[in-house]
Amino acid sequence: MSILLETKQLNKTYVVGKQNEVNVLKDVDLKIMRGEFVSVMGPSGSGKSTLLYNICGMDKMSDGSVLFNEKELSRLSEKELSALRLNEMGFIFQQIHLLKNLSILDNIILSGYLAHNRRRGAVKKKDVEKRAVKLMEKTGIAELATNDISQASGGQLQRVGICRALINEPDIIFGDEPTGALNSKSSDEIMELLAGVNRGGTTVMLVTHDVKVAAKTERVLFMLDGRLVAEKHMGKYSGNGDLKAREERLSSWLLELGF
Amino acid sequence: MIFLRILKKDFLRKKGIMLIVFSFILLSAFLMSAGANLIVELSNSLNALFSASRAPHFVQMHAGSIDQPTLNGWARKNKMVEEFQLVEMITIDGSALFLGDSGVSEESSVMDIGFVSQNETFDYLLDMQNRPLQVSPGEIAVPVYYLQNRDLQLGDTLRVKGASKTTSLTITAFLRDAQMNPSIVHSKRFLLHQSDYTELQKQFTESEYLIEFILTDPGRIDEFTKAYLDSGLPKMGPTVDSRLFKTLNALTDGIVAAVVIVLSLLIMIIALLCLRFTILATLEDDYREIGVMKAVGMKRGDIKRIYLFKYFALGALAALLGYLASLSFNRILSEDILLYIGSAPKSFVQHLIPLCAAALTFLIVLLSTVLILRRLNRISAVEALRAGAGAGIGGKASAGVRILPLKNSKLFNVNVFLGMRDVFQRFRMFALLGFIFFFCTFIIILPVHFLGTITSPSFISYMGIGRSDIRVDLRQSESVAARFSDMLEYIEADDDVERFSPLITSQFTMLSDNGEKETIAIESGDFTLFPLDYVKGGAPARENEIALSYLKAKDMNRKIGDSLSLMVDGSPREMTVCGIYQDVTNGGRTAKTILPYNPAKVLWYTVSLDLAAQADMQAKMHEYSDQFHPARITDMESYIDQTLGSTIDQLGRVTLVAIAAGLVVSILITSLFLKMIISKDSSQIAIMKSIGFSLQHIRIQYLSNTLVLLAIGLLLGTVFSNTLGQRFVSILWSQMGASQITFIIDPLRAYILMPLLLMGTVSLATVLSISAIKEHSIINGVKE
Repeated sequence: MSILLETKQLNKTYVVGKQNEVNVLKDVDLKIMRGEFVSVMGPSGSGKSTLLYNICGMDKMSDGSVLFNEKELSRLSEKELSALRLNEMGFIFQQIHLLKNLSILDNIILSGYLAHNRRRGAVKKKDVEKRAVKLMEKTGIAELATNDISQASGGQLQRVGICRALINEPDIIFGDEPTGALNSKSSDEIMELLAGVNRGGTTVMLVTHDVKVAAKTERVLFMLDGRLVAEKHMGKYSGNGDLKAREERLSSWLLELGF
Repeated sequence: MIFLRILKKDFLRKKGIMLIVFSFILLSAFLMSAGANLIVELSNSLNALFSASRAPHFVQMHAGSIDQPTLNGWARKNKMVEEFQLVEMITIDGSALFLGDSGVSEESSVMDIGFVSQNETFDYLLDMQNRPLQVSPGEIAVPVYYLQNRDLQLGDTLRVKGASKTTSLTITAFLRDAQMNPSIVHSKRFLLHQSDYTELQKQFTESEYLIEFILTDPGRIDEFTKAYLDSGLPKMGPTVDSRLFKTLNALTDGIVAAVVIVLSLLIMIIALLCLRFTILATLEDDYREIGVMKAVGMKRGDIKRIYLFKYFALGALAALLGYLASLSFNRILSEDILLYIGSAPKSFVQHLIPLCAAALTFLIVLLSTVLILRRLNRISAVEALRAGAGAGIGGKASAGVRILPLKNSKLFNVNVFLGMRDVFQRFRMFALLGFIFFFCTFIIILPVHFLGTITSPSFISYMGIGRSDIRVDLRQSESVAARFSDMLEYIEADDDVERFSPLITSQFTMLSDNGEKETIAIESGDFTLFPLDYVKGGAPARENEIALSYLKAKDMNRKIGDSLSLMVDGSPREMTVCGIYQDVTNGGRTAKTILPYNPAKVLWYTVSLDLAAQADMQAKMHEYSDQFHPARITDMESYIDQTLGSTIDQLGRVTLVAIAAGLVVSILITSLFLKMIISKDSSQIAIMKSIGFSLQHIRIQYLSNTLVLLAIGLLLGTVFSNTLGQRFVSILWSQMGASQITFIIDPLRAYILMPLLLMGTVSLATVLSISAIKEHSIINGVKE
């Protein structure tokens, strides 16, 4: 297995008010392998989301390095970072963040069309549409294609989010509390989908509060006060009946950490 | 006081937008009061000039011999006559007159030059203080027209080359002439001392008479005119009256005043649109606060008063400053009036009119605010509190998600497509910007078209003459008929001349509907060689056909096919109106036939001619001026330029101002609008950026947005200028005799340069004003 993403001494400092600096990330060293299913846990304000946004280039790190697909993020221009996010990364958010002026299908194919714009030869608009339809069928939202986003439930919208994240066949999917706003049934369904995506070979990295969510991932990282303080290898989740046991193992580990 | 505190806070919070709205109201009030002032100034000064000069009510020009006792007798017997005088004028040919040290004669000038001495009882020539002018021997006073057009100074020398000797005179004054001031009048009077006058008379034997009357009742000019023309008294020359003098004097500045006022109305509309926009944006921002105010029990009226007070203060201050600013600007605008007509003390009421105009602007602003604020009624406390700051009151955010699915973007770049799609999806909001672009296009293109038209050689078709390379004018003088036939012979023999057409204008008597006689100047000749454009019908082809100028046809109430009765060789002859044409020269009242001219009453002779390809135009014009002395030789362009020169200058200035205004307005509104859109779209922009849209992609979206709107605006604005705008200009000019102005469009300037200019500035404004997209990020939401 090769390394997909590696951070070295990653630091992020926010300036709050006139002189106060807040060190949100402190010397984070992290490796994520291709095909891994990783989750990041930790109390509120521990820097989980900040870590996510810094390693995807949406936020600018203060110090250190982030190597993604052998590219050093701090050396990339704004344009190259956008291209990276478009083609090699996919995102799902707690607030889902769909464009409200587009139909559900259009939300999904938009990124694909944009990729076509950038790499005319490699991406065909027709293929984008076919792929979008296939993804929607897979996630069970095919019949919503022409709907307005206000005509769908939260669970359905998060499926749209997943389809959008997958449309350009990225190397990694980042999820910022993707199930945070969903009821437990929808949450389970979304996690099953993501596990499936991971089984298909796509690396997935989630930030979550939810033990039930983290229990389905392969490796759990724990953050406290901006530092990566511990990690636990859970082994591949096979989707069988061992979920209860995984949850208990994870809970007791977290308890040890004082969470 | 709580109102003042809220007011202050609000102004500080929205400095930019407030400043822009403020400037628009200010500008509108400024132009409004400047325009009003110009009109007041014009009519006031004009009245002062006419009373100071004691301008005659009726003038008959006459080139020929005169029998003064008969005239005196007729005037004494006629009860309508209060005063009568006969003014003799030495006519000096342009080629004999040299102004200043240039050494270039006035031969190419369209002006008919006359030397006179000061009148005794009325029709005074005035100095720059509007006092009757007196010059000493050896001195001469020159019309202000020459001050402006020949760059003369007091102390310069004027030379007149006579048959035997050259007389030098010192220019000691510039004069105002109520009758012949404006450049559009083709006669100019120079004032000499009586002794120089007598001296010059010996060398220049040609003279012309002005038979002038002051009437007991100026309201009876028409009646008097008829009486005079029927009397058999001398009338070899044009007949003019005080109403015409006034119109001609007021024309140029009147047009400027009209344009300024129209401009002010346009800007006011823009100001109101901005205001509406600002108020709605403010209400949107304050949605929650308004909810809170309602929830804590403030009455609707109280809340409304807070907003109303704000715009009341804004409008009042802007209008007042606009008025004050106009005070200092008035002098520049009325420069021409001050020079040509002079200033006159204004009455209290006249001072008040510009202030009232500014106050009117303010009232309109206030009224619109009241109307827009009715929206407040729609906000319910519960709804506002629940919806929070994100919700708006401007209607549903996204209507028609299903229109234009992305699938249709096959041909377009996806960002261009998104931008264009946005325009259609949020059309109601974008319509305002499109409307502004339409407006800006209109105010830029209309004057550009008009300037292009009036400076184009084809404008000649509005001056009642056909297009030709060279025009030769020969005025009434001694043995003119013989000279004219010599001239024709010479031209006929000239190989350089491709074709030519002699036209002779002479007076005929016409019988009006109730059997009364009326004199009419008719041009006779072949009108097919150098055809002019007819509004209706065509050139006279048979002897019983007559073509009338637009104003003449309107005066006589004649249409194509109607008949009128003309006295030819002493007997009445039925003529059919065969064509109506536009003519802004000679007061706009002329006619054309192929009937032989009336040799007893010829007014002037002209020859239009086209040169063969190999001929040198300038050389030919020189040759002819030497050969045909004292005839005046002009090419079409200099004919237009000399006739309409100052109107063209002024229009040029107005055009520049309009272009600048159009650009400034489009830049201002574009940035104002986009700043608002960007803040409204912040969450959508953040999402796009997160999923891989670069700043450039988003810029392209908004650029497509504005450029699509601009394209629509340009298209509509141009169509509007070319149709209704043209109609508007025609209405303005129909008073002068051109009823159907067709724009002569310079496609390079109007359809390429101006749109490119607008596109450039709008694109720049767009890119600069959306720089805030850099700051929008979904992380900002996460951090909180």
